Amino acid sequence: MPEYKVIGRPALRVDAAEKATGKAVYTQDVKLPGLLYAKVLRSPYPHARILRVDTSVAERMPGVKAVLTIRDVPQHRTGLMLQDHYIFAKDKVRHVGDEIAAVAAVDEETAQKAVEAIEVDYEELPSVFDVEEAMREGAPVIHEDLPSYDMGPGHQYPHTMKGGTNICGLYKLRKGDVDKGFQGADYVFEDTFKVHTFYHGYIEPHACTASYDPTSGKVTVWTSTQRPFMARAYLSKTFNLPMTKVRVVGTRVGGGFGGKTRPRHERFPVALSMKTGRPVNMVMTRDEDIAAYCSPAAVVKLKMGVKADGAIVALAMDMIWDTGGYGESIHYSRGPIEALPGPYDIPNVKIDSYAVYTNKMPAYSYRGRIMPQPTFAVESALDIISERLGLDPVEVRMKNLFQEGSINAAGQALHSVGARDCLQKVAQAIGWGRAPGPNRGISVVSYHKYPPTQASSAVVRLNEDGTVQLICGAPEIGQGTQTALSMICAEELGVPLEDVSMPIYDTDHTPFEAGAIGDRITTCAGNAIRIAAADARAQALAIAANMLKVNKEDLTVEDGRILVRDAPEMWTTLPRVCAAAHTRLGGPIVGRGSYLGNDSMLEMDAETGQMGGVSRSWKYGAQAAEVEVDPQTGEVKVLKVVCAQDVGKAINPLIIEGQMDGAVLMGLGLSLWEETAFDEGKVANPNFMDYRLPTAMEGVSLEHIIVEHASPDGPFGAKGAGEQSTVPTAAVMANAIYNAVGVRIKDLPLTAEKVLSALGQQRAQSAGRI
Amino acid sequence: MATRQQVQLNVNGEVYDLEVPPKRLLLDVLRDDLGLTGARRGCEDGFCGACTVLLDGKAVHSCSVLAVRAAGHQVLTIEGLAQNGKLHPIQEAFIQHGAIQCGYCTPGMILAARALLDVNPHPMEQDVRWGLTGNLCRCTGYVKIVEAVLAAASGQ
Amino acid sequence: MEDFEYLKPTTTAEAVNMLAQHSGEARAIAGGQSLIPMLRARLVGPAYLIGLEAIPDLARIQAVDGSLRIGAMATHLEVATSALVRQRASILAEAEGLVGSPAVRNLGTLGGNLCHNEVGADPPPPLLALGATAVIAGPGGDRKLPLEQFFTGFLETALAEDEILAYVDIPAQPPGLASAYVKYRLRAVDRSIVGVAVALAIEGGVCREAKVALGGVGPVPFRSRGAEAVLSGNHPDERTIEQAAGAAMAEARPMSDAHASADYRRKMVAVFTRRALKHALGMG
Ligand SMILES: Cc1cc2nc3c(=O)[nH]c(=O)nc-3n(C[C@H](O)[C@H](O)[C@H](O)COP(=O)(O)OP(=O)(O)OC[C@H]3O[C@@H](n4cnc5c(N)ncnc54)[C@H](O)[C@@H]3O)c2cc1C
Ligand code: FES
Ligand code: FES
Repeated sequence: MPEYKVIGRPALRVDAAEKATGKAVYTQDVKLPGLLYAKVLRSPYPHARILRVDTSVAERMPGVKAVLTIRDVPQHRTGLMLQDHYIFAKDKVRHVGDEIAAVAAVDEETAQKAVEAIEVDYEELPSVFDVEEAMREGAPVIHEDLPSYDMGPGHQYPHTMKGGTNICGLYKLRKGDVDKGFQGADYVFEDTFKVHTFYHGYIEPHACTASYDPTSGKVTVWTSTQRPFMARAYLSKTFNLPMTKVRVVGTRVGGGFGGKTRPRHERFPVALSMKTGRPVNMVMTRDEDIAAYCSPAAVVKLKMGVKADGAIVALAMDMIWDTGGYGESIHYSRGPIEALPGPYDIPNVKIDSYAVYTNKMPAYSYRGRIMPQPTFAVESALDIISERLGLDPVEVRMKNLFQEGSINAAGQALHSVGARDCLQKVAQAIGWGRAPGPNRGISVVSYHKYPPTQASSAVVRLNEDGTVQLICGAPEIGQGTQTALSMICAEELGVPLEDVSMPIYDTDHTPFEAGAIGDRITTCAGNAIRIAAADARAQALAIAANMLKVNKEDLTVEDGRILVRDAPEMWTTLPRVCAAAHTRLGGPIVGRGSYLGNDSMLEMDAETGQMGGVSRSWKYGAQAAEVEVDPQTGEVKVLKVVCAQDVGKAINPLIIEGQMDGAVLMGLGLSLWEETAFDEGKVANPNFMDYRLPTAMEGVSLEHIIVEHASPDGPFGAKGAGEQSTVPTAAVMANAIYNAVGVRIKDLPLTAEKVLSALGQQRAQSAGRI
Repeated sequence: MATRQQVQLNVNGEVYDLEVPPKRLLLDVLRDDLGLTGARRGCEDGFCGACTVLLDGKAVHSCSVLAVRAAGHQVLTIEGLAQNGKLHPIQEAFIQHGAIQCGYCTPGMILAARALLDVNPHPMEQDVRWGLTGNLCRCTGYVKIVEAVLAAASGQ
Repeated sequence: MEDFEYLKPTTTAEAVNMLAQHSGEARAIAGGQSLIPMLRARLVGPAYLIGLEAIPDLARIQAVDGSLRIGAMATHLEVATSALVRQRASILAEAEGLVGSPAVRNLGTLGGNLCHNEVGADPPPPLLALGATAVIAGPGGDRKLPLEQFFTGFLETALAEDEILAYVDIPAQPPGLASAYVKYRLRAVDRSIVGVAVALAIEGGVCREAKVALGGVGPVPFRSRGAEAVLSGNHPDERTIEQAAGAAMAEARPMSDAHASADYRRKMVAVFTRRALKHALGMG
């Protein structure tokens, strides 16, 4: 094992003090002279034709500076993933909340009153909310022009779109021969699982300030985003501006969890600022935010064939994703589709994964992305099957889990597989095998997550005094980016952590970075930074070799000192080298690094989803819990959670524990209490009173187990760690409830009410049997 | 224009004479008029607690307090917690225990913890959890926040 | 939020005068915990707000002629922690300690809670079970109303536009009182799905008088006369308790909302009435 000086330690976060003192600047704190405030008019109908929009009264109201509708802006379709919406609804609205007009005024209240003064005549159209109904023949068609849509700048995959239907994405995976597999199985399980809609619940609502300078034709944007460069790409495309004329400036971000991955509301302050020539601020109210951002609901139709000894021989799955009115989550159907079966070696697999429009609000990515929904289904099924076959569910998992060299559903070979390790450790920690007592249940679940992708780049500048500017566009959204990346940079350069400074991104000054999604920052940005730091280090050593008159191959850097191997009396320091570089030797040191999270999916076969070759490293994990169910109320009390993640290499274990803590409570929240409820397409609970984010009283302490099966393709072996622990929690809860009281719930969430009603049915059935 | 009312606010030990419309919220006065943006706007429904400040030592949601109502009372915001450049022990504990992630809930959380420890200097874990129910955090699962508050209480 | 003027009377009489003078346009504000969100959402838009915080008399908690008098402006926290309340009306103190979160308890008041009359509020059931009376100040002086008659409908009370709630009086309780308040909600901060308060006068193992009050399971909090009848004059054993729980369930008229369906709420009435009774009687 190499000895690391910086990484692997629980270093304190570099951004903690400014946050603890209230000095951190978030988008809402950006104040500009002459600032105007924006509000948006949203459709009250889920599906309707727009017959007339009259803004004349609103325009005449004192304090109103601009009122915009589709008439006033570029009239082409746009979208980061799928270009299927306009800046403002044109002709038709497709969900409650679809944006029709925007107002800029001297204050929020004036803007809101002006919005209310806009008159719109609608002709209601038949709508469809259930995703399975939306797939059926004869369902109301939500996008008539569907097959003609183009992909957006954030999505490079082709999609099968079915014109005249609501299916905007379809991906297929075929491995082996499932029919044969089922024929050869001793037991075939078949059922349907449903996963509800939930909300990201970041405490900072979406906010954006845009400032357009008519002289230069450039717009500067501050926005609460996980993906500044995607915001730039989207705005550039939407407003026909070259990327040099769109600048996204960083602030702190108060949480994202997937909900801040797509530019959506930025277009309104930008359009209004371009119209007025004044800066425009828009902050979403919490009720607007809850009614505008959610996860895609899903239906999982699952068929699994097993041998009597528990070996899984065939899996067929129809995965149906509800994108809502627009397709900013069509990438869910793409997957990676081979992730859906879970971390199991299954010879025969057939999957169809659909993205389907409905007249609900558009869905966005959510922590864990495509994994929590199929994991709920597959892991529930494994427990059900184990019981029917009289097998131990942990052993059944152990039997089927991937190991080093296993071939996954896309035909790719796997390496650095920590799956069994995680499962073993978790089972032991929860005390698997013991009887937990009346109304108590234990469960243990395995899962995996696919490798991160997309491009990152970084620049490492050495200052005259030897300190380091790390220039990277990765946003700090709470996940510890700034600290972890600074640590990677310090380790590679051989300097102490406090010598590295990583300023907040600015798309004008930091090189491209695809953003904080899918655990990719530590790995992709981390790799770019490691390359850049190595480059800077090599330049520094070349100068040092020149100064010391030795070969640069004989030099090493330790704690900012440059040493000559086997000649301890000869040394210099990084500050001296940097000073020399700036005055007399070679010029300032600037290291550069680029990394592409290579995406073999781009080469996959469209009919079979097969790719072959060797995959980059996946992440593995296991989670266990003990619960107690109150049989009179159905209430589930979580007594203990154990959480293991194979993170490859823990760059900073303290930060990883924090990610596990947050991810697990988020998972518990969406399993037990949280649900975005709809009434005819309208969100029925758009506030924290009724959307039940867990409080400190619902939180649990957990046992963290960090497993390290080093990845050959991450920096220092790291695989990334932020999202995983949300993935299995719903399955863990469903199985633990079953273990406690014998009721099996196949549609989330597992509310007390649902558990009680299942208990009632169980009692009625057993009474009927007697 | 609506009538404005004179209010004298004592914030972090400094006295401000302001003229505000009676409907103005304490949160907006702090953020927009006094530039004390450590009080954060999260829901304005009196639920999330991002806007928490102390009013005469008690935690309140400043989005649910009229500025005129705060007149004559002592307001403490996160900006006033550190003394002479030295962080308050609770701030220090939050940093040391990794209790801060996105940081949006942090100022409110720290102030709520301060009010809690003022009344109950030696709380049990459940007391801490109960005392923080007015402050939502989505990032940390509250685990390290609770640890930090317990550590601050025991002087670690 | 619409503009308003903020008036700050220093006596109850002055407050009532202001309300009368601006009748239809004025509204009292106590802790503002319910009213400010309503103003923000423009559900109400009074031209005058009458702040009651400068009327010292309304914030007092005192013993008056054998009964306990709690001023409407006493905060949830003050009621929950008052030694006098804990001694004489312990279930009210418990219920007040369960209201919302610390910030809500620090500013929100007992009076504001009662006047708002929200479904699932905690203080009403214990007050009903303790036989409390509302003391209402109006232009013609004070009037007293049994608290049960104070709650008239969903978010509605018996207060006229120019009246304020001044105090709540809780009579002295019989010796041997067995009482309890239990609250069921999904998260610590939520209003109750069902809240049950019971106050039983036990003499020689027999329940001489029973009061059972429910919140969260109808448009207004109410006393379950059926459950009370089952218990009164009887030995409160398992069977009686079961019958009382069933009677309470039969009287509930719950509504569905984001937290629970009407059907689930009804079932929970039986569960928590049973639990409240057992808790009061020390039966586990
Ligand atoms: C996050 C949150 C959680 C909550 N959870 C709970 C809970 O679990 N249980 C619970 O019981 N409650 C809960 N509540 C409500 C809480 O109890 C409020 O404090 C209470 O309902 C209002 O009290 P207030 O003093 O703030 O009244 P205000 O908001 O000032 O006034 C409320 C209403 O009463 C009127 N009013 C007030 N005082 C008088 C008076 N003396 N005479 C005449 N009219 C008057 C006002 O005009 C207004 O219509 C919660 C509130 C919040 C914000
Ligand atoms: S902003 Fe005040 S409680 Fe959320
Ligand atoms: S740290 Fe992000 S909400 Fe608490």
